[in-house]
Amino acid sequence: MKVVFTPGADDIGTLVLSNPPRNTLEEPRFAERAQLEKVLNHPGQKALILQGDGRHFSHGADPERLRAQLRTPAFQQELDRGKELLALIAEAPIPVLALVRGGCLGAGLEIALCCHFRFAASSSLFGFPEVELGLIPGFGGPLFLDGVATRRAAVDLLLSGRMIGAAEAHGLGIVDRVCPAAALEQNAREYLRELVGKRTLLQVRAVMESLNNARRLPLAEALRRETELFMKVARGE
Amino acid sequence: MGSEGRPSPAFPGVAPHSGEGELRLVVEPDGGIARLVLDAPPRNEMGRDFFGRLDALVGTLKDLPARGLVVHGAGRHFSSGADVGALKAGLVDAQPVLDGQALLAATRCFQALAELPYPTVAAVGGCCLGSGLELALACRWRVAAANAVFALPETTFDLMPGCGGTVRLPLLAGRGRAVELLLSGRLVDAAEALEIGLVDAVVGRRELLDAARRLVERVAA
Repeated sequence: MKVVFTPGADDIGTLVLSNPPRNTLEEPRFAERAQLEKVLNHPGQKALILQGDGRHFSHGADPERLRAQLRTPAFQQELDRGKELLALIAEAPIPVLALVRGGCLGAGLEIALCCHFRFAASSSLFGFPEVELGLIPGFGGPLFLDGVATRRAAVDLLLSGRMIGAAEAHGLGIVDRVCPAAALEQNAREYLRELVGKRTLLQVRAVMESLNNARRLPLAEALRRETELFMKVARGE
Repeated sequence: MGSEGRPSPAFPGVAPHSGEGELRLVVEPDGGIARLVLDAPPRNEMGRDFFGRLDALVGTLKDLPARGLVVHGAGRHFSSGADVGALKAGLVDAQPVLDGQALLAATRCFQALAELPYPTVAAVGGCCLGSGLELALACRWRVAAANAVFALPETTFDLMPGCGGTVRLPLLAGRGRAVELLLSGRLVDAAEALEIGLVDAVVGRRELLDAARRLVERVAA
């Protein structure tokens, strides 16, 4: 897989996961860390759309390849490196929206789940097929599902391995908005433009940083940092 | 009956309602449910004296032998939050009314409220905006009247929430929803607030205080 970045004229960039037709991940490290950091911190960029190349978002790992990889001693480390990329997206300095068409399965779904928003075409499909291979999702799925879907829905999806359509995914809270495939990208762009268009880059980054602090810092420290960020924004520093 | 409007001999630190105190603590005898009333109608705006008054009350609140605390607004609204005009003017003054230290002190007051050793419930009617919502978020539970509306509109005024909103909102509503509400600054009605976990119950406007008291009784039992 390669990832292809296109800066947007409207401060909203696009990052494409590209390994058509199904955009499968050959390695857990689906992008170079430095490249992803650069994309997320692209000058002036206030939001990012993450999507698959062509008809699908991503079908995740290629099962045959995964079986072989599982036998190599370094695979656990590779998996951790891949998860570092997910953490970069999850704690991005700007909102990241996953634009989902077609299949969004396994590690593909885990990538979508670490984004802040998911907009899906009505024909898209979601699921964790890992259990069918005698495995479990190993790319943060169980963790990222928590707080997005109810625990009951999470257990159901993770253990049954069943595939669900966009409407059900929306009902479970996994998808924020469902629209016809033809209107999907325009919908997402309009939504993000509405969200960040009138905000300064400083505001967007300060809000995102504070939200990230809420996840990783003790409460008192996160609160203290919020005040600092507020003063920076107020002074326009 | 409460000792509303009169100094309580048991709590000499609690001043009587001065008419412009903005914040009033009403204690009940025998360790009943106390009330913290945002009292600057009609919108119960948090003016310059609000945080000083809250700071002065924090010590009393900590030692209050109460069964619980209900925080609510006088009249129709909970609170419209701080006066944005005054806030922004204050920030750029040579001698700012609100500087980082003052804001930090305000945040600490809310945190002290969050750490009170008895159940705290915000009873929210009407508007609950900005630092008003941040105050409600610092309570352990929130009960909303059907007419309640919520927002953290700070980003629409070129600011951001500064009293715990960006830290507490994602814990209740989730990360994605928090990003959306913080950056859009949009209004959320009571039904949506319930759906996204911002409030714990929605009741009719007339039942608001009773419902908040019942919630205290239930969790304190």
